[in-house]
Amino acid sequence: MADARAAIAFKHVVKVYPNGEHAVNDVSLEIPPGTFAVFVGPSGSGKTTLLKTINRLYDVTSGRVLVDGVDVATTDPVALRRGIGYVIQQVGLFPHMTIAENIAVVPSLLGWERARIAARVDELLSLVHLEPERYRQRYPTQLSGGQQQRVGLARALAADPQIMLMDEPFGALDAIERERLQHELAELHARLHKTIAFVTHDVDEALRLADLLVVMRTGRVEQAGTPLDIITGPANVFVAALLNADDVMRRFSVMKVGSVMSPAGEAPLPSTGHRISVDRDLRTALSLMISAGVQSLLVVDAAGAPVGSLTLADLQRAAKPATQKR
Amino acid sequence: MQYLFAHPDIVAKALGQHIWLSVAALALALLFSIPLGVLAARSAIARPAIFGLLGVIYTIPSLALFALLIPALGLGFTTALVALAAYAQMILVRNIAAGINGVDPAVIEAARGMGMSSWQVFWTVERPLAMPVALAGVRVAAVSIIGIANVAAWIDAGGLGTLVLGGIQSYYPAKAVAGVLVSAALAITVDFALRRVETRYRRHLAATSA
Repeated sequence: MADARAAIAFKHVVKVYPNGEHAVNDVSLEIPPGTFAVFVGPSGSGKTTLLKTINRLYDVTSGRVLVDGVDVATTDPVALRRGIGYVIQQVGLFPHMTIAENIAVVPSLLGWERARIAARVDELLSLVHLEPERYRQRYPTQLSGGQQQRVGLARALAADPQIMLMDEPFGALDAIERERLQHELAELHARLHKTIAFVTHDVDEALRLADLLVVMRTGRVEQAGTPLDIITGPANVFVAALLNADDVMRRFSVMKVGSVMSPAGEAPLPSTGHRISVDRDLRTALSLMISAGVQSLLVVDAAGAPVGSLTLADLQRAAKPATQKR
Repeated sequence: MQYLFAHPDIVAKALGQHIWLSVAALALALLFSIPLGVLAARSAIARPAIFGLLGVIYTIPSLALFALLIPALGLGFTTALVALAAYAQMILVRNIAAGINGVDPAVIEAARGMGMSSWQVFWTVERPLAMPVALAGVRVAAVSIIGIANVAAWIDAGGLGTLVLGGIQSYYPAKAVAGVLVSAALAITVDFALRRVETRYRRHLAATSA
């Protein structure tokens, strides 16, 4: 069965609110296991509603939502939710409980032993870069916004769910803290291989984090694919405008050095000594060229061995708009 | 004051009756107000009906409320108990409902999203977070009951009001003053004690109540 392979699958999902508003309108989509899926769109596009059909905070009007191949409508919502991590913008930590107690909520509900819970709490605090000894016994109001959301993330990860739902988790944070948490979340995802469904209206955030980018408008999926595919081939004017796909720097931010470099052997390797890693993005490469005052960079792999070169001419070629390339 | 020292036995007996009547009335009041408060917080249909009825009871002057109950319950302790409990309903139900409705919706959503059942959300999240506001209601209700319980003497239910009533009837002001002083001291003590309990509950919530 094809469905069983997707961690989350939507089949013609429709959600109509009691007031008659069609929040989600015939959405079909599959999210493979381990995928970082980001739903982006303006407010009212139905992205949050769609997210909440996964853990049945909303029940669909018609269609089906499958988690690990099982129709969620057939499951007990309480049991379903205990197996899915959930992070929201307002964090929603329990103010009358310590940080440790907050993180322990789902493990306690699942009946874990005390010692196992205590060990897990410390492990998770370290994972989100909060020293266990310092933060365990504090209360949520004693933490900054960024620290609170770190705890929110730890709390959602507590029982090691394979699926995480995140509803604009960094929306209320300042720019510096937001970027730091995006970076940490990307690292966590690379390490833990969770399937993540993440909602945001911040396009930069979406492009930075997504393996699978889902662009939504008025309850429909306008386009789904990798950030690179969508930004170099937007399906329509709306998608192009939302992502500002004509902007060269925007496109460079999702294109990897490896995809446009001249591999070693095809062209002479530059001797300038300025190096860039093969998996960095073109935006970083361009800014390095400009700040170093050079027209070519030596491309190296993770081990530091030369694998090719990247020239200003390569970047100019890559900068050509998508419509001309296709 | 001199009455207090001259007749400690009479004062102590009246104080004992007063405390017993107040505690029993508060306990009876809570028995009804807790479910009513939860219902008023949950149900948009029940809310106006509950507050309408309690509002009417609350506007009846206390002596009149005692008088209204006499035909059904006669004179004495039971009538006083029922009247005091009914009188406290408005304060208690309003604060319990406000406490529950005042819980941050994001906290409730997080609790549901993590897989708490409705009962678990109520017991582990809403109940403790509603507690400071509900306790403030208990405190005001307790002080009101202690004050109004003085009127119970008029329907032969005992308490410190007997000193006040007796003092007035026998032109013995010192006796009446003693009754007033002791009942005021009792109210102030209870208010102080319950404030301390409230503060303990509020301690970690200060920044979130904003």
